[in-house]
Amino acid sequence: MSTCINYGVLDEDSMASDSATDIATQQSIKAYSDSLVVDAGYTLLSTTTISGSPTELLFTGLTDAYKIYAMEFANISANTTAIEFLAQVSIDNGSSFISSAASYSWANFKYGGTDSSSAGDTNVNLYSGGINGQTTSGMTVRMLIVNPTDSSVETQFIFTGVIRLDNSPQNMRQSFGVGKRLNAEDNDAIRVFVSSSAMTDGGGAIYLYGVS
Amino acid sequence: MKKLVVNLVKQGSGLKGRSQLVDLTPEEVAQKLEDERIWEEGSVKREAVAGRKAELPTDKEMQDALWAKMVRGDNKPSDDLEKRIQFVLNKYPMPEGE
Repeated sequence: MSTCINYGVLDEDSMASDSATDIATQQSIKAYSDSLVVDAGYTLLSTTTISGSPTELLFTGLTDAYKIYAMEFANISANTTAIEFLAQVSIDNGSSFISSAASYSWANFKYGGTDSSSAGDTNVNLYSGGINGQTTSGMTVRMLIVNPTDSSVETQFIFTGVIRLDNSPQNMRQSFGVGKRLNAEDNDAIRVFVSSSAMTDGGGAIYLYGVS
Repeated sequence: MKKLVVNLVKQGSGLKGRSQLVDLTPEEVAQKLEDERIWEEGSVKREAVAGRKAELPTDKEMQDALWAKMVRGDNKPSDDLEKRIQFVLNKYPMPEGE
């Protein structure tokens, strides 16, 4: 002998009523479970190879589509001596870049080298040690740019990677650094440049990701 | 002289980058050359390949030396430190009024 129980049927995508007696439709179960999946991860926005010995790289059009942007510099070289890699941000989509005194603070820590920092500089210094020109791979660094377009907080930079100082394979530094724009504003472009001369292609590329 | 510009443009629901190599404007070239001139003529040498200690004065050294130079006058900083401070001031001049 079977027992028939009269359950109610809910077609409720949000599961808001949280019923202990009614059953849910297949459609509402699928809709609810799909809603729990967060589209997280790195979205590749662009891949750029170095050509024409540029003195600087500009990334314009940053929007609040992403709270964090990630840049990977893979095997980027510098073609002269005493190079430093520097960064600045813009509030006019790259027409100009903020470069007055005490606009940024930064610190970088170098395994194998001397740590350095500045509490008030004209730029963020991604590597202050001096890079003496390579014909092969030079800088492989990942840099996170945190909250660039949020006008209520300062833009922050976190970067880590390997710097090859010259053509001698043993002359390498592992660098970890942080940086900060010392004003809360909407930064819609970023500029990465060298302190003198130009960048060359060490056999890699620059990848830009949006992080969600 | 050129710069490599990656412009993010909205495509569908996401952003997509387009890169192009463009010439620096005359003003940008002038600024670049001036930066390089200051850089190369300055006596500041940061950490070199062999891992020598950076020769930039620390914030404390800067403050002490400037204080000595501007206020006390009886404790003149060394020529070497003064040169380094002058280089930094040339590169990063103080805004007017300060």
